[in-house]
Amino acid sequence: MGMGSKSWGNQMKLPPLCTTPPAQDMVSAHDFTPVKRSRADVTVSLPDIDGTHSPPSLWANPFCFQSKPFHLWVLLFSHRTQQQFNLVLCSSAPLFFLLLCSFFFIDLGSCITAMGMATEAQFHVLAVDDSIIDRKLIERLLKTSSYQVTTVDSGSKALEFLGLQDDDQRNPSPPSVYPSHHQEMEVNLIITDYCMPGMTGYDLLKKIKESSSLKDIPVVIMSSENVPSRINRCLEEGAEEFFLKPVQLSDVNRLRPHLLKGKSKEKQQEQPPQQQALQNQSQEPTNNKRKAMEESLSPERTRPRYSDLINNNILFI
Amino acid sequence: MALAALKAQLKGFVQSLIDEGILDRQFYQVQALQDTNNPRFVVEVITMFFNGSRVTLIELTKYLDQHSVNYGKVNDYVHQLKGSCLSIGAHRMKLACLDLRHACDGNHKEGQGQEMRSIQWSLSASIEDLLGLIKWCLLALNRIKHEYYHLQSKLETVVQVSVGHIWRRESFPMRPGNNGSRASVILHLPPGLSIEFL
Repeated sequence: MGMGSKSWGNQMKLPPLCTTPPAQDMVSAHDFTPVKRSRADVTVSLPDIDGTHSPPSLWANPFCFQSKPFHLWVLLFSHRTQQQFNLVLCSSAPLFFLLLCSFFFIDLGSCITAMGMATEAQFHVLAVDDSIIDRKLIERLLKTSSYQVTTVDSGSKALEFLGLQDDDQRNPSPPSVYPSHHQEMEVNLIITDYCMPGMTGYDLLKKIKESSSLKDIPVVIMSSENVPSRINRCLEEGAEEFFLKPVQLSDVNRLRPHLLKGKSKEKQQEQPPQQQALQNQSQEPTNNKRKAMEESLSPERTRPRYSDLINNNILFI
Repeated sequence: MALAALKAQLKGFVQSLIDEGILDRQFYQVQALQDTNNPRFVVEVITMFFNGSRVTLIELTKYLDQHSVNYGKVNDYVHQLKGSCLSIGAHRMKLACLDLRHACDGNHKEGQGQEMRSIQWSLSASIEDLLGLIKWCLLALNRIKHEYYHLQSKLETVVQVSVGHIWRRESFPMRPGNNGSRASVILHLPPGLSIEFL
């Protein structure tokens, strides 16, 4: 009964790997000259499961037209993965076409988005799990939903990561391990496994809710075991949600309302005035940023409306 | 084109594994997390899974081989292993882990008509009871190892095809007229354990 031999007996027969390289589906092979078309015929093919399609571009849905009132040329395009629309307005046609050509070759758009992104809300999630596979999966799941992710393998490391933020507010000594610019290291949500050696997820939850500075951070517990008493205990202690493993993308989508609620609470506490600098007919590009986000999202809505999360970047040339 | 055929064959293969019960739909979720920015994701997860499982199985064998078995530790390791199987979609191996879990708790059917009872913590447990417990645990452990090997041989195919994809894409991005005379990369997964049957 030797089972050690790895026999390929009834494996599928693999044909030799193909001799021709995969076809290139580059989006840039389309022309801009017929401007008055109703819909751009360029679409980004989403990569298949094993990624045989090369992503042509970061940009999707380019849509250009000439606006009647001011004879402005308008180009509207969106980012492929982020829910963000960018708008470019140009007063002169030749400059506009020059911009379009440079846009796809120089990827000027990423500069716009980068500018936009640097000042836009990027949710930072701290994931705590002792299993490396679960850490990898949750990291990928969260990154797919465009969150910034930090993973740690124990509750104590999580507290260290959060606690340093805590300490920094009280005394200005720089931390030895983590960078000192904590504005960007702010954590918007903590997702933790329940069963961990040492400090369990429940202990971590309690510690967070006991801390004055961390208690407002929403906490989500995950577990592979469906034990109702455990679930109730965690929810009573203040956990926002309890996910059963394996965690799916639909579960991660349920996090968004909690994150947005947290952000809106923060906004109410400190209101920075919105900058509105418009420069028409100027050679200097100006970035006009406007959040179209609605802040009152009901908790039972599992999927936020796409329109709620459009962050518009408008560029005037 | 041959590449599309290969991709379709892989999909069919994974579906057949799911139909057999070796994998479950969680594996599709794992595949769905892979995109062109992370082309190695599935391969990395599978490799990570086998590396971790191998270590856990070695530890389990060690703990169950001792004179006085530390069932607490065994329980922890099985829980860890079960969690990994759950996350990756290794269905049959997960069921085998559950069997061992039940065996550790003393909840195994000793025969027909007998009630399940927890032997482990009973002070009046007899030698026969304890031997029976260990026997069941070891049988369950061997079942896990059997499923481990089975899964490893099946997933090696998936890994080989995926690595072949990645390797070709990275080495030959846009060269026309390139022939695939070079052999595909063979990924050596860690060697498995020897199975000891009682």
